[in-house]
Amino acid sequence: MKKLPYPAYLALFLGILGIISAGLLAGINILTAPAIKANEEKKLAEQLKVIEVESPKILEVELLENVQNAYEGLYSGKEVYVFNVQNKNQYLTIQTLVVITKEDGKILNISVGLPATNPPGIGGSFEGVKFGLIDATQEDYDSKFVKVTGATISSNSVKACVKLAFDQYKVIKEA
Amino acid sequence: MANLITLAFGALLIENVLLYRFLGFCPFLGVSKKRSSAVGMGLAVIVVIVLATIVTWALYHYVLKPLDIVYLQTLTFILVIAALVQMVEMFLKKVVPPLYRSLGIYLPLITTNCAVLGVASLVIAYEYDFLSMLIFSFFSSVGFFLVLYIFSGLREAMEQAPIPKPFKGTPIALIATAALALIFARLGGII
Amino acid sequence: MKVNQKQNFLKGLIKENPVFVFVLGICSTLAVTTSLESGIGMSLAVIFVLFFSNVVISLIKNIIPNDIRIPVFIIVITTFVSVVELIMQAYLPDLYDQLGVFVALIAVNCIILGRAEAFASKNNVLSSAIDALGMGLGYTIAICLVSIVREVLGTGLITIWGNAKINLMPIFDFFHVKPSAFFTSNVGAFIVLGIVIGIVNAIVFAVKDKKEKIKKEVKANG
Repeated sequence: MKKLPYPAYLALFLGILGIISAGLLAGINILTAPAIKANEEKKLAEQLKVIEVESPKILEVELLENVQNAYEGLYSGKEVYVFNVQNKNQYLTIQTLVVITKEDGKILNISVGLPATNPPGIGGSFEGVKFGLIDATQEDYDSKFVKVTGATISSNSVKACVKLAFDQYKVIKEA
Repeated sequence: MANLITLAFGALLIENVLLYRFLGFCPFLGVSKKRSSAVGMGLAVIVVIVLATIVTWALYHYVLKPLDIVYLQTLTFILVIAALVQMVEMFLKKVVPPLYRSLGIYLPLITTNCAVLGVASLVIAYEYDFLSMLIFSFFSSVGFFLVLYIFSGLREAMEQAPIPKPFKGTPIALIATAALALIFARLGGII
Repeated sequence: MKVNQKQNFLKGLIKENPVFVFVLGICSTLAVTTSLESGIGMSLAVIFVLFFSNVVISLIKNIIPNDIRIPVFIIVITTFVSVVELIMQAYLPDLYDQLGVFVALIAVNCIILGRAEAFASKNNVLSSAIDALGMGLGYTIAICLVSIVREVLGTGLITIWGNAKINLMPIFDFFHVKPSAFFTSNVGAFIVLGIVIGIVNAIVFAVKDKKEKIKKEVKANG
């Protein structure tokens, strides 16, 4: 072993150490992965509770880009789709949950989430989002002027999320 | 475009790496005693942070995520940073020896600077794209340099002041930093 | 050279307290002390990493080539940090969200690298393990002290874990004052830490001076 040239010995030592570390971490990762996944699902179930959707089930469909998840569930007895849509611009990442009826594509509820790490001052109140958009369908959205209160950067993001949710609904309907 | 300007201002002043995010404090207390060492350290940090963030960002998006080995993020990021600092050291030694000598021990110390790993990790956590990542890392590191320089000037003055013995050194430095943080916090009203 | 393990352990608490005396790990102290809960969580993570990295480095100290000892320390330390990260994400997700990027930053926490270089690479496994525990406990004391001050002055509550809180508002009401969010803000962090270190220094100096005085008197009396 000592016959190796010195730099090669150093590199070998570091390499073996690195492999041992990576192996250990891979092992721990395999052990903890199910728990981590369960936590994420719990978080989403909590979020879905916020928009009053019961018995959510994951929907296996082709998702458009920036649609994170699709679920189906019950909202006040009606069958609905729930789309977890993300919109990213340079400064803001918005996660919205849009509840759309299966039958006629109306928005029944919407919840907007900002990542906790956002800087202050960006993004206004999102209360207006709900009231402006409830019962709106794709046609309403396209034709009527939907006012979303809040700072411009964030309201544009919310509008983009809603549009994407409608598009995803169309994709499912036409499939 | 407006988003990028807000991002730049945020990283530089309002969410300053040192005063708001508390990153890079250990070397800060040690290096800021003289203005000349502050300048050297600050410039080196800017170079390392920007380079390291670019490389680690690419590493995450093109290697770690596609291969689903995200759990190796911290390990690989630190090794990239250590290697980069080593390379910057060798480059300076060969090309600009006087600068290398004046930086002295501060250069290898940048490896353990929370700010470098911090900015690299934040860029991933915030899910920035390439341009935002560049702006964020550059202006964050410039913010570090700015505060470091201002503070070294303050400290040179504080050396002369009559400060009670228990508060000499670290405590008074922290309290002075609080004053600086207060000023920077008020700047948030500009945007 | 027989090492007094009791001394070895106790030194990390006060005389060589990593935060108050060595002034290491300040970044994390400022950031996680907004509530006692995150302070305790962070301390546990740091003790875990410090303990295992000290032990492992002490075990392999004789085969580490000297030129690459810092990268080797870093790899060992970071591995345990990543282990903590994964465990936290799986079993303590709320704590992980609170601490954020600072869990990963334990890897560059000057305390851990400092102990590896100054102690673990030069002492046997038992001493290194006990040193780690002592230093870890010292860090915990420092963090919890600052956390309690900041959280009480900032919100009037002490959050021990999750929903277990101690409500100190009655004391505030008694003095007709209100807790101020200033202390949990970043400016408050600097001021509280600065004042706490100043006060600790004052106490330590006073005790030292008294000990010197007593020594002198004993000498004079012969």
